[in-house]
Amino acid sequence: MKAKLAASLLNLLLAAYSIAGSPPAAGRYISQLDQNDWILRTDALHYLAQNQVKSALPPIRSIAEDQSETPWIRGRALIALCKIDTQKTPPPLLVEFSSANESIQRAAACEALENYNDHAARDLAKRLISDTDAVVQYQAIATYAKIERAAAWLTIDQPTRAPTPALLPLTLRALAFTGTDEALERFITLIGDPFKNQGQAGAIVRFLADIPEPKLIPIYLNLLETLETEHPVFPSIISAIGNHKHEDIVSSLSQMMATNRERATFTAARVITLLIQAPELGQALRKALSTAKEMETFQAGLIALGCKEMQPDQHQEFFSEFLDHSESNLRTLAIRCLSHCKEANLYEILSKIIDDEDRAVRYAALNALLLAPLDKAPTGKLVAYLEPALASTDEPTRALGFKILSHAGNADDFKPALTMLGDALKSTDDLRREAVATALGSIAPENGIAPVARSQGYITDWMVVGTFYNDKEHKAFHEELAPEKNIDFKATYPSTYIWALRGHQNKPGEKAIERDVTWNEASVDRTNGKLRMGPLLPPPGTFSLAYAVADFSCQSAKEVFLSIDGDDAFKVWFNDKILAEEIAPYQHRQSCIANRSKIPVALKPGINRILVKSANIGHEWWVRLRLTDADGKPIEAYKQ
Amino acid sequence: MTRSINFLTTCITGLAVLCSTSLAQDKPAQSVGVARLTEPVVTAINNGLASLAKKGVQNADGSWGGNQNRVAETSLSLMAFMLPGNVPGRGVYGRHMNLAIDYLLNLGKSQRGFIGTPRNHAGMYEHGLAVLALSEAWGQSKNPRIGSALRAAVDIILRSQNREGGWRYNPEPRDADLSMTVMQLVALESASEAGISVPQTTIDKAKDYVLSCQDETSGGFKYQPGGGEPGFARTAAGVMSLIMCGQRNLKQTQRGIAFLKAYPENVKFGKGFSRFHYSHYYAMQSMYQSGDADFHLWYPKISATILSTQKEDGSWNGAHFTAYVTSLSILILGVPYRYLPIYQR
Repeated sequence: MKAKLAASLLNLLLAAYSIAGSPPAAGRYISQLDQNDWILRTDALHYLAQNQVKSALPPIRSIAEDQSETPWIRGRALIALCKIDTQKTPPPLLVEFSSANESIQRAAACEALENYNDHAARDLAKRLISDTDAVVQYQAIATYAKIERAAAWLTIDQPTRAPTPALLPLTLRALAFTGTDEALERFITLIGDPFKNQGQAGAIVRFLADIPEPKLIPIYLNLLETLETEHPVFPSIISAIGNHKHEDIVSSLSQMMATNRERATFTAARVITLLIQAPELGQALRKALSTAKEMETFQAGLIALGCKEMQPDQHQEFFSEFLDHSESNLRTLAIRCLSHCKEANLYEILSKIIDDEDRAVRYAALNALLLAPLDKAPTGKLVAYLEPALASTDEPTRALGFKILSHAGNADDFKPALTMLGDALKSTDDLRREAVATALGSIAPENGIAPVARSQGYITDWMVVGTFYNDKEHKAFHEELAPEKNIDFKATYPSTYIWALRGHQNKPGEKAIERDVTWNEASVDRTNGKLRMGPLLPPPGTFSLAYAVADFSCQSAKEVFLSIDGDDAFKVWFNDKILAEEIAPYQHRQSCIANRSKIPVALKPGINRILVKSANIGHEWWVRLRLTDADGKPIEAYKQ
Repeated sequence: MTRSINFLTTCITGLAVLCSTSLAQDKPAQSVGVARLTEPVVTAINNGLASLAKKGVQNADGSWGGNQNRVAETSLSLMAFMLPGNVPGRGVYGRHMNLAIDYLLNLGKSQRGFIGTPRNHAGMYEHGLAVLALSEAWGQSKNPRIGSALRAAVDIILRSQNREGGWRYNPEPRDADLSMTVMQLVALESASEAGISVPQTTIDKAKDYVLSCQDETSGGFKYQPGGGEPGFARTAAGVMSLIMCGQRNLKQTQRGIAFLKAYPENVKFGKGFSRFHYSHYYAMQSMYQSGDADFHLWYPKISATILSTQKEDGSWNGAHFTAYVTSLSILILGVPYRYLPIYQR
C-alpha cells in the first residue's frame, strides 16, 4: 500500500513537470497509470512504450514489480518497461517472469523478449517453446523466429503446420519473421481463409504490422485484391504496408501492375491514391490501364494519376483522351484531373466539352475554368467561347457562364458581351436580368456601367445638389427648400451640416456648420441603377438631404410606369407635379428602404423632368428610379 | 547605395530649404519646406528633443517609456530625433539614437525578428513602428545589424497578413483592423523604400483592405469593413496609407480628405480632442501630401494647439505616456522638415 502511494506521488510529480524530449501527452499518460480502470492503464502503458517515455520508467517498473497488481497488468508493464529501457540483454525481472506460475506472465516475458537479440534472449525463447501453455509456446516461437530469422525454420517448422485459429496470428508472425520461401509459402496458405472472419483478420494484421519483411508487401497487396475497399481490415492492411520502406512499396506495386490483371491494376491504383502517391509509378499505372476494361478500374486509375502529388501534368494527354469517353462519369473525372494540371490550357482543352450533353460534365468543365489561370482566357473572345453556356436553357449552366465571364473577362469582352446579352437586360425575368447586369458590370469599362443600367430602364443621368441639413424628424424633408422652388443648375445655395458621427455627437444648441453647395452632374455607377448619394456629395451624408434632377426626351406621348426605391426617404415630382412621397421607418445602422412600384406616368412629347428629394438619417444613402411599360419591359430614358 | 544617394539628396534639399528660410522670412511661403518652420516651432522641437535626451529619461537599455509600450515610445522617439536631420552615432543625440537602435535590434534578435511586446494588443503596432523607425535609420546609420533585423521583421509582417489583406494585434494571419493595417502598410512602404524586398501583391492586398474600410456614405474610414461608424483618427490613418501606396488621386482618397476637412474645426483642433496626437500625426501627413492648399489650411491651426500645450521642460503631456506624446508632437510640428524619406512628397 505504501509502495503504491509512493508510486502515485511520484507519478503525480512526474506528470506535473514537463519532461524535455517527451511527447506532449506524456504527463497525462503517466498520471493515467494510477487509474483503477485496467483499460486506461493498459492504454497508458502502450502509449508510453510506443513513445519510449524514459521518465515513465520508475512508475512502470513499480507496477511490474508490485505483487499486489494483477498478473495481466504486471505483464503489460514488463513489456512496456523492456521497450522503453533499451538494454542489450533481458533484465532479471523478465527472467523472473519467464518462470512465473501464471502463464499470462510467462507469455508477457516472451513478448518482452522480442526487444533483445543476444544469446540469453535466444536461449530463453527456445526454452519457453517447450512451455506447457500453448499461448506461451507460440509467443516464444514468434520471438525465437524474430531473433533467429531464417535459422529458426527447423525449430518452427513442425509447430506451425496446423495451428488452431486462436494461435494463427502468432504462427503467422513467426513465419513472417522467418521469411524463407517455405515459411512464406505456408504463410500464404494459412492466411487465405481467416480473412473471411473479420475479427481474426484484424488481429492477424495487427500481429504482422511491425514486421519489416519486404516480402510481406506482395502478400498484403494480394490480400487487398480480395477485399472490398469498405472491408474493415482494408485500412489496417494499407497501414501495415505503409510501415515499409518507400522503395519496397513502389517495387511491389510496379510488379503488381506488370501482371496486367484488371483487379491488380485497380488495387494498385487505390493504394497509390490512399498511401504512396509516388510519381514514378505513373507510367506503370497508365500502361496497366491501357489493357483495363472496367469502369471502376479507369476511375481508380484517373483518381490516382490526378492526385496533385502524382505530377498530373505528366498525364495531361492521357486525361484528355477520356474527354470523348462514352461514360459521363469518366469525362467528369478527366476534367477534374485536368484541372490539377498547372501547365494545361483548360480553355483550349475544354472548348468542346463545355457544351457537353451531360449536365454534370458541363458543370465540371465550367468549374474547372474558374480555377484556370486568367492569362489563358481568350481575351476579347471569351464571350464567343462561353456562348453555349451563356445561352444555355439550363439555369446553373448559365450562372456558371456568367461567373466565368465576371471572373476571367475584362473590358475587351464588354462589347461582345453586351451584344450577346443585351436582350436579357430588357427581360421581364428579374433574376436573369440582374445576373446578366452583374456579369456585364464586372467587366465593363468605367463608361460602360451607365448604359447597362439604362438598358434595364434605370434613370442614369442626373444633376445633384446637396447636402442640406435634415433632422431625425425629417423637418427639412417636409419643408420647401430653395432647389425645389426653382431649379437653376447655375445657382449656389447656402447650406448647413452637423457632425454626428463617431468621436463627436452634436450637442443641443451647437451651431451647424455652414457651407455653399452647387449642382453637379452625376451618373449611376452600379448596374443595379442605384444613384449613390454619398460619393457624389460632401461629407458626412448623415442627417442630410439632397436633390437630383433628370431630364429625358420622349418622341410622343405615352403611358409608362415608374418604380422608385431609396434609403431612407424620397419625394418625387414628375413634370412639376408631385408623384410620390415615402419615408422608411428609421433603424439604427441598418438599411431603411422606402419604395413605390409601378406608378402610372404620362410622358409628354419632348423633354420630361423628374425631380427627386432624397433624405438620409444614417447608414446607406441612395435612390433608384426605373421606367417600364405595362408588361414590365424596361424603357430607356435619356436626353437626346 | 540608392539609399545613401537618396539621403544625401534629402540633406542637400533640406539645407537649401533652411538657407532659404533665413533669406525669406517675411515673404509669402512658396514651398512647403519653408512655410511654417517658424522660430517658435523650431524652438519647441529642440526643447522637445532635449527633454527626451535629458538624463534619466531614456532607460539604461536604450528604450523610452515605462513597462507597457516601450517599443512604440522608443521607435517614435528615434523618429523624432531623426526628423530634423539628427544622425545616429553623431552629434549631441547620436549616442541616444544608437542606444535606441540597439534596444530595438536586441529585442528583435531575442524574439526571432518580432520587435513588439508579445501577447499585447499593441504588439503588431509596436512592431510596425519599429520597422518604420529602423527603415528610416538604415540609410543614416552604419550599423550593419539593421539590415538583417529589418529583413526578419518585414518577413514577419508579410507572413502575418490575413486573407482580407490586413493585420491585427498579433503576428499571425487571423483577423484584421484598419489601425493595425495602416501601421504595417506604412512600415512596409518605408522598408521597401529602404531597399527591403516587399511583394507588390502584399501592398495591393493591404490597400484593398484599407479601401474596404471606407464608409460609402461619408467617405470616412471605419475600424473594420462593414461595422461601426467612421472616425477622424482612422480616416486620417486610411488616407495617409493610401497616399503612401501612390493612391493620392484615387477618388476614395480624396473623399477621405474631404471627410477630414469637413470635420468640425472646433473639435478636431481642440486640446481635448480624443486621440489628438495619433489622429493628427496621420492627418498632418495626409494634408501635407494632399497639397499646399490643404497643408496651409491645417498646419497653422494644429501647430498653434500643440505649441500652446508644451510644458516648461520641453515635453508634452497627453492621454498617453510622455515620450509617446512628446515624440508625436515633434513629428507633427516637424512635418516641414523633409529629412525622412517616408515623409517626403
